[in-house]
Amino acid sequence: MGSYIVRRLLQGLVILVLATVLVFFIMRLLPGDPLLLYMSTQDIGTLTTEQMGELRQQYGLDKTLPLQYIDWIGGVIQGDLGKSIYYRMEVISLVKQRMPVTINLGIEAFIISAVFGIFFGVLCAVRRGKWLDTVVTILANLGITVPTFWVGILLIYVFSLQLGWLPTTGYISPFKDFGASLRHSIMPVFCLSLFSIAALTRQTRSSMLEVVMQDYIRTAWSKGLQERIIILKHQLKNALIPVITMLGMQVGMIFGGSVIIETVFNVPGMGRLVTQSVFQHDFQVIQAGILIISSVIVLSNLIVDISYGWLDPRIRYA
Amino acid sequence: MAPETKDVMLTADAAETSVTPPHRTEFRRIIRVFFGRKLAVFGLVIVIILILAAIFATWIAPYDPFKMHMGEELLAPNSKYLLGTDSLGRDTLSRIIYGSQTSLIVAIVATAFSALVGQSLGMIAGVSGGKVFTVIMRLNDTLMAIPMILLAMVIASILGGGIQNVIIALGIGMIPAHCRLMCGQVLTLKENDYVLAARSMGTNNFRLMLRHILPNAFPPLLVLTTIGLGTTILAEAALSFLGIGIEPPTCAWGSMINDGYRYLMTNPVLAFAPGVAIMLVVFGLNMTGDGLRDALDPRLRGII
Repeated sequence: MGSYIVRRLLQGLVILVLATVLVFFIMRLLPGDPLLLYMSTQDIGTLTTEQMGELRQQYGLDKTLPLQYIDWIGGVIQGDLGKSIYYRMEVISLVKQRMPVTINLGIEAFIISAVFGIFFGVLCAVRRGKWLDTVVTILANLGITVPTFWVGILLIYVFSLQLGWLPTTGYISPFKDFGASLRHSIMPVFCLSLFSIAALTRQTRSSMLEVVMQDYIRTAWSKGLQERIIILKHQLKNALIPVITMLGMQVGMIFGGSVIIETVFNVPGMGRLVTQSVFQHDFQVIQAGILIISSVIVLSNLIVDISYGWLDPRIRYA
Repeated sequence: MAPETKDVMLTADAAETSVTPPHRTEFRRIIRVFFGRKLAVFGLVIVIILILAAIFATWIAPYDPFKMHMGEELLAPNSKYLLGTDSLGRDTLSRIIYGSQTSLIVAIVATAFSALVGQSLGMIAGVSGGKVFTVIMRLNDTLMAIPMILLAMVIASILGGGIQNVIIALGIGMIPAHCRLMCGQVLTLKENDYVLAARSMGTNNFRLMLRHILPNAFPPLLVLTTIGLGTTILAEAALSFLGIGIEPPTCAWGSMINDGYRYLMTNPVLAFAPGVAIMLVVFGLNMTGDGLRDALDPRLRGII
């Protein structure tokens, strides 16, 4: 087990390096001189060629691309994520400001998706064919269908503009003012979790129904076990592997969704930061953002794979 | 191998002893299961309507989608303009109808591209094994570690907006899903006796892939492709909404929502209507995909 985790972590590290290499080189395919991004328009007119050369050297842009990458990754190892061109500050301090926001909303969305998705899925499977199952299944099918940013706009229209119950946009830390933070985060968290709740409901329902035909479920019933125990311990636990796989995928979905949802609700998180940086071609921030988001995804994949062993002891890690 | 499966070779000998020719009944069974699902049929109808709307947009749309009706800007829905007009006085309904062309073109071309590239890579990785497998699948894992929408954003921002570049960005973003599914399929199918038999007859890898593995891996890939069309439409809408996708004046549902967002207070229909169109279409594609999955599920063979 221990050696398995170490090997997977090393593999994850390789993936992260490859992901950053990929983004690094894609970003440098940009037409034009990256040096110009660092300079104000006034500078561009007045600086001499020698001064430009000095600046180029100062930012390390005179080296070849592979060397620039090595410089960058060397900095990352020492905790230096580079400097934002647009914000004119260290990327690491930008991340420190923005990351807690996204993590806060993301964790809320993730927990809500897991709890409600699995709950609705079990409910549908238990009441299969009844009206409750039909209604929830249709809602789940709609949930994986609607563009979440559009749902956000719909919610803003109804709850902010028409009813005036919730603030339209912005973000307040729960440590500052818990009530206000809750009111600000209800709509974004709902939008972030909508797709995941729906996808998990569908997955839980179908894998619960696959298990229900198994012999050991019939045995459990004929032993006279309580319904609750059969459903939760026998049926759900055995149906959970594909659900956990999907749950792991939701980490990426929620992070990807935050890019759009944070824009709709004007939340100052990582998603909004990365979107703005894409517009500004602020490649240092984009690289750092993708490094962080990919790390979270790679780690969550590892946790998913480890949890298989707990759910199904037949799975061994060699 | 059971005689019910598709790839059984009907020799004269087998025909005498075995049941009726399996090809036809299998196809009929699939059709029957698919059309027995109300939601699947409903989904298919929506998809067909979308395709018709895209092809005959010129005839269906009440107005030219680019024509700015001076003095009639930001009208609420009325009998002349069924869904009202936008800030430039263009008819919303006509723009939505023309938007189906954009969505459909982007979805079909991007999905075809990602399916072709992704599935070929997955097939090569699965059949070759060894170093080739490691290299392709590690690269694939790398692409999977970046959320698709983020990758598409970065690529689209480098290439610039426009239909062609959005297709490239989304096409690349969708490759890993196809590659991974195909590779998994090949690894499972490789263990079958008919692959071993083909190998022992000296079949080369290329023929093995095309003739023996591809037909059997087809059902799940078809389902992924159908649902992938919906995913692509959603992603294109998101990119256009953020302003790095399809650029105005081309009609795209995502950028129409972004436009309408500014007039949410006064003209909510501008933001709502294109969203309903997206929802309907993606719902139709997903339901068609679900119906296909049930219809093509080999475990249900003989039951239904």
